[in-house]
Amino acid sequence: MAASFDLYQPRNTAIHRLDPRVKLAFVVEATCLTFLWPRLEVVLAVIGVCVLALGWARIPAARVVGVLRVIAPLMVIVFGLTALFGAGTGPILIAAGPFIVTAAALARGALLALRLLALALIVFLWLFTTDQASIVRGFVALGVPYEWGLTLALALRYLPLFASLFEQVRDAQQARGLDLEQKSFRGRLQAYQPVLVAMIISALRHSEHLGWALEARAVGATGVRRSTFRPLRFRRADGLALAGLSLVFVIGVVLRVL
Amino acid sequence: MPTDIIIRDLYYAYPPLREGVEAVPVLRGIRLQVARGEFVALLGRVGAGKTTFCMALNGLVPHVTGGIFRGEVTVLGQNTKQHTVPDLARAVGLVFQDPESQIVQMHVEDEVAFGCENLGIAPAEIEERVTWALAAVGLSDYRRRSTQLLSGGEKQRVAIAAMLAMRPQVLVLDEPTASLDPAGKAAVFQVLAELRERHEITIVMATQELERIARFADRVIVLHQGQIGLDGPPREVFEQVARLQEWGIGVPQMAELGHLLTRRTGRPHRFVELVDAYRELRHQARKLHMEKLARRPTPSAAGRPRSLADEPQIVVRDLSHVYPDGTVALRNINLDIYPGEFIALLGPNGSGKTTLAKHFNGLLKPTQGKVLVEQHDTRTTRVALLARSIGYAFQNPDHQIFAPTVAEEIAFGPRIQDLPAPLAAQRVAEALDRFRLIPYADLPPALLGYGQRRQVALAAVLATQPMTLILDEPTGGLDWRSQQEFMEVVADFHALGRTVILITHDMRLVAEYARRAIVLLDGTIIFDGTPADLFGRPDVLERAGLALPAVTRLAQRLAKHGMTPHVLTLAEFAAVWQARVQACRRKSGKAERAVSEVRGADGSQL
Amino acid sequence: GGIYMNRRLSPGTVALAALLIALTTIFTLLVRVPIPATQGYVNLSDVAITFTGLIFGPWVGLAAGGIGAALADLLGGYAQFAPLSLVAHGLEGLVIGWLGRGRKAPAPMILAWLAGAVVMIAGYLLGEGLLLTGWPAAIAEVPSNALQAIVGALVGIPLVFAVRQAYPPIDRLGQRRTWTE
Ligand SMILES: Nc1ncnc2c1ncn2[C@@H]1O[C@H](COP(=O)(O)OP(=O)(O)OP(=O)(O)O)[C@@H](O)[C@H]1O
Ligand SMILES: Nc1ncnc2c1ncn2[C@@H]1O[C@H](COP(=O)(O)OP(=O)(O)OP(=O)(O)O)[C@@H](O)[C@H]1O
Ligand SMILES: [Mg+2]
Ligand SMILES: [Mg+2]
Repeated sequence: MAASFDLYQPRNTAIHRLDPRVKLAFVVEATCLTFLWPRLEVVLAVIGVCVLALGWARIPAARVVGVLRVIAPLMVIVFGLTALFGAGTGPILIAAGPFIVTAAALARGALLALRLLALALIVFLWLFTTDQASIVRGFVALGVPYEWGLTLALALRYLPLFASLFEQVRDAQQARGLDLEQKSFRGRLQAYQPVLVAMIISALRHSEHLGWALEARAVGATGVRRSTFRPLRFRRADGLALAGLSLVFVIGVVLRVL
Repeated sequence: MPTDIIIRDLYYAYPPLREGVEAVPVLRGIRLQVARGEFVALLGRVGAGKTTFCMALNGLVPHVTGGIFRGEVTVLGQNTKQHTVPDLARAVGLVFQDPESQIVQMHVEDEVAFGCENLGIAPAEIEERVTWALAAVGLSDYRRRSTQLLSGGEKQRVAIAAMLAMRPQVLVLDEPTASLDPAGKAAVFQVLAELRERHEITIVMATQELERIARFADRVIVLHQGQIGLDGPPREVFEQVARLQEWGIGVPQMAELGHLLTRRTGRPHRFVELVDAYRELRHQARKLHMEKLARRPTPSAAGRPRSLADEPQIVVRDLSHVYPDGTVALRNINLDIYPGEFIALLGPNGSGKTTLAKHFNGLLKPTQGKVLVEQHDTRTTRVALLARSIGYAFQNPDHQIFAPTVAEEIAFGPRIQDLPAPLAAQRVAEALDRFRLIPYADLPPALLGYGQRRQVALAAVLATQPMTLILDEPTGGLDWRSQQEFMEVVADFHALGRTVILITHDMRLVAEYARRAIVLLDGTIIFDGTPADLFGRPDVLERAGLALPAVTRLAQRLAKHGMTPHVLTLAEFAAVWQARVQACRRKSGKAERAVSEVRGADGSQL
Repeated sequence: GGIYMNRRLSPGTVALAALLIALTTIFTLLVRVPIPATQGYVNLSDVAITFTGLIFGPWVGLAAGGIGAALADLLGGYAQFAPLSLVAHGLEGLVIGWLGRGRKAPAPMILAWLAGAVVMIAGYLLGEGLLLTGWPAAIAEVPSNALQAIVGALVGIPLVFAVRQAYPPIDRLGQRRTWTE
C-alpha cells in the first residue's frame, strides 16, 4: 500500500550514494540537452546513459518495464499523429487520401516519441535512486526556503495516509448503501459527493492537528537558526561527478553552437 | 520539590465555530499545582476539555486556537501568555492522541531530531539526544526504520521520543493510547513509568485507561464541568464511585466491585487494584471457611438456544483473502452466523477481524471460497444491496460524516434506499430521539464533539434498520457513560432479534454482552464458542494476547478459597459472592448454635 | 478567507498547504470515475484544484494545483509531463483562487473556474505543442483536458457549497487567530 507512493528502490550503489544535488544537476542537464539539441542521436544517447545507470544502480528490470508500459501507448500516439499530421517537407512515403506521410514527419515523430521516453527515464532514474527525504533536503540545500521543503515533505508523507483514508471513506459510505456505479455519468459524479465531502473534512481536521503538532515541535521558533541533523555532505565522488556533468554539458553546448 | 506547573483561575472559551453563535467556555476556573516528578492522570467525559487543558499547558491554547483566555498558566516559571509555543517547547512536550497527525518525517531518527533542529541545536548534540530518547522509549534499533511502517504503539513511542529529544521537564500526553491495542497500550505505559522513575519527568496524561491509571499514576484529576471536580491519589479518587458515575466517568472494575459488594453485603469493601481486592476477599473467605462450601456446579455454557429450523443468515465457506499486495489476511475460514446471535470477534492487531467483517457486507470479495448473506453470494451482489441487510458502523465517525445537518446525515441511508418519505422521516425522528440528538438536529454533525459524532454515525446506520449490525471497535475513546449509552442501544437492537457482530479488544464488553466469541489469529479461527468457555482457555487467551476482565481474574484466583471461578461480569461476581457469604454465615451460624447448645448442655450438667 | 504569501509561512499554513497538495494528488491518482460505455475514466484532479482555489485562494491554489498534479504525474508514471503539469495546473489554481476566493455565489465561481480552465488547457496545448509532443498530439489532448476541466466545475463547485455547509469553520483555517482576555 505505502510502497506505491515511494518510487525509491533502496540499494547501496555509487548512484544511490551520490549527493541529491548532483543528481538534480544531472536531471536538469540531460533535460536541457535533449531540448537544446533535438536530434535522434542525442536522445538515444541520453536513453542509453539512463539505461546503463539504471542497471548500475541495480534497479529491478520490472520497475523499468513498468515505466515503459505506461509510456508506450503515449509514444505510439505521438509517433502516429506526428507522422500523419506533422506534414513537413521531403519525399512523400505514403499518400492515402488526405493523409500524407513524409520522411521528415516520420523522423520527427520518432524523435518526439523517443524524447518522451528519454525525459521519463531521466526523472525516474532520479526518483528510483534518491529517497524522498534526500530529495527534499537537496532542494532546501539549494536555497528553497525550509518551510517549502517541509510542505513538500509533509505532502509526500501524507500520500499513503490519504490513500487509505479515501478507501476507508469510500467503504464507509458504500456500507451505508451509497451506490457508486450509477448508470449515467452525471449520476456517477454526483454519487461521489458524500465520499469527497467526508474525505475533505477529515483532511482538514488532520491539517489542523498537524499544524498544532508542528508548533509543539518548535517549528518557527523565533530567534534561532534552524540546524540540520544530517547535513548533506558533498564528497569527492560528488565533486568528480559534477565536474564530469559540467564537462559534458559544455562540450554539448559548444558542439551545438558550432 | 519544585512546582513545575501552576495554574491560576484558568478560564478558556474557543472562538465560536459558526457565525452568530456564543462562545461556550470549556475551562471555567481551574486551579492546580503539579510538583516535579509527579505522574498526573486527567480524567473526564468526552468533550470535558481534556485536550483543551493539555493544549493550554504548552501555549497552543490560546496562541494558536484564539478565543477568550483568562487566568494564568505557568510552566517552569514561564507564563504561557508571554511565550510563544515554540519557545515553550523547551519546557513542555505535548504528545497528541492520533499518532498519524504528529509524525512529520519519513525516518525514525529524523523524526526524533526534528524538534531539536527547529531549536537550532548543534548536530553533535542532536545525535546524543536522539540516541538517548530512542533508548528511553525502547526503540534504539529503529533508527533507520520508516515511520510509516510502524505499528500504532511504536508510532506513539516515537512521538514520545521526539518530544523527549527536546529535553522538556514536563511531558503532556493527550490520550496517547486511545487508538492502540492492549500490547501497544502496555508498552506506552511502561515507557512512561520508566521515564518518571529514572528521569524525574513530570507527566500529565489525559486518558480513559482506568485500570492502568490506578496502577501507574500518583494522582488523578477529574475534569467536570470545566473545573477540577476531584483531585487526589487514585485510591481516594476512585473510592468516590457513586459521584464519578453520576458524572459519567467510570472507575476501575475493582473499585466498582468494592462499591457493589459494600452495597450488597453491607460490609465496607474498599479496593482499587486487583491485589488488594484479592487480599481482602481472601481474608474474608478464609474467615468464613468458604472453601468448605459445596462447589456450585459450573454453569453449563448454554449457547444460543438454536432451533434446528433456523437458517444461518451468513454462511462462510473456505474463505481465504489475499490483498493485492500479497498479504494473506484470511485462510480457510468456515463460519455460520444465525439470526439473533451476539458475536464478539476477537484477536490481536492484524489478525484479520476487519477483513473478515468486510466480507459480510461485500466490501471485500473472497479471493477463494464464498460468503453467502441471506443466500446471496457476495461476489455477485452489489454492496449497495447488501447494505440494506448488513449495517456496518466503522470506528471513525469522520469517515462517513458529510451532511450539512445531523438530521440529513441520519436520513442519508433511508433516503438512498428509496423508502417512502413519511417512513424515512419517521425513522430519522426515532433515531434522533433514541440518541438524544434532537437539540442538535439542525447543526452540522462535523461540528459536534467526538462522542456525539460517534452517536450520529451509529444512528445513521441504525436508521436503515439492518438485520445485522457490525461494530468495529465501537467504544474506543468513549467515556463510561457514553459507552453505556452506546451499548444500551446495541443491546436494544439485539433484543429485537437482530444479529450483532462486535469487533473489540475490550474483554469487559465481551463478558457483558456477547453470547459467542470467535478468536482470530493470523487469519484463522482458533476459537469459536461461548465467552465463558473462552475465559476458561488460558492457552487461547495467551496466543491471541487477550486479557481477562479483572473480575474474572479475581474469581479465578479466589477459586481455591471457595469462590466460583466462572464469573464474567461484576453483577455476577457480586451476586455469587453474596450468596456464598450468606451460605457460609448460615452454615457457621448453625455450627455456632450447635456448639453453644453443646456448651449449654455441658454447663447445665455442671 | 484566504491566505497571503508571507516571507515565513506559519506552521498552520504549511500543514494546510501540504495536506491540500496530498489531497490533489490522491484525487488525481485514486479517485477515478469510469465513463460508462467507454474504456476511459476521468480523474478528479481539477475538482481538487477548483475547490482549493475557490476556498483557500491563489497561493494555496498554486501550490496544491501545481505540486499536487506534478506529484501525481511523477508517481503515476508520467514523469515527462510533471514540469508542464506543475505550471499548467499551478496557474489554474492560481487563477481560480485569484478570481474566485471568498465568492459565495455560483456565477463568479463559474467565471473563475472558466478562466482557470482556459489557462490550464492553453498551458498544456502550448507546452505540449512547443516542447513535448508536437502539435498534432497536443491538439488531440485538448478534448480530454476540457472534459477534465468540466468535471472540475460539475463536481468542484457544488463541493464548495457542500463543504462550507457541512464544515463552516473551513473559511477560517490557516489564518492566525487572536485571543482576548
Ligand atoms: N477547535 C475548536 N473550536 C471550537 N470548539 C472546540 C474546538 N475543539 C474542541 N471544542 C469543543 O470544546 C469542548 C472540549 O473539547 P476537548 O477536545 O478539549 O474535549 P476532550 O475532553 O478532549 O474530549 P475527547 O474525549 O473527545 O477528546 C468540546 O465541547 C468541543 O466540542
Ligand atoms: N488494504 C490492505 N492492503 C494490504 N494489506 C492489508 C490491507 N488491509 C489490511 N491488510 C493486512 O491484512 C491483515 C489483516 O488486517 P485487518 O485489518 O483485517 O486486521 P484486524 O484484525 O482488523 O486488526 P486491527 O485490530 O488492527 O483492526 C494485516 O496483516 C494487515 O496488514
Ligand atoms: Mg480530546
Ligand atoms: Mg480492524
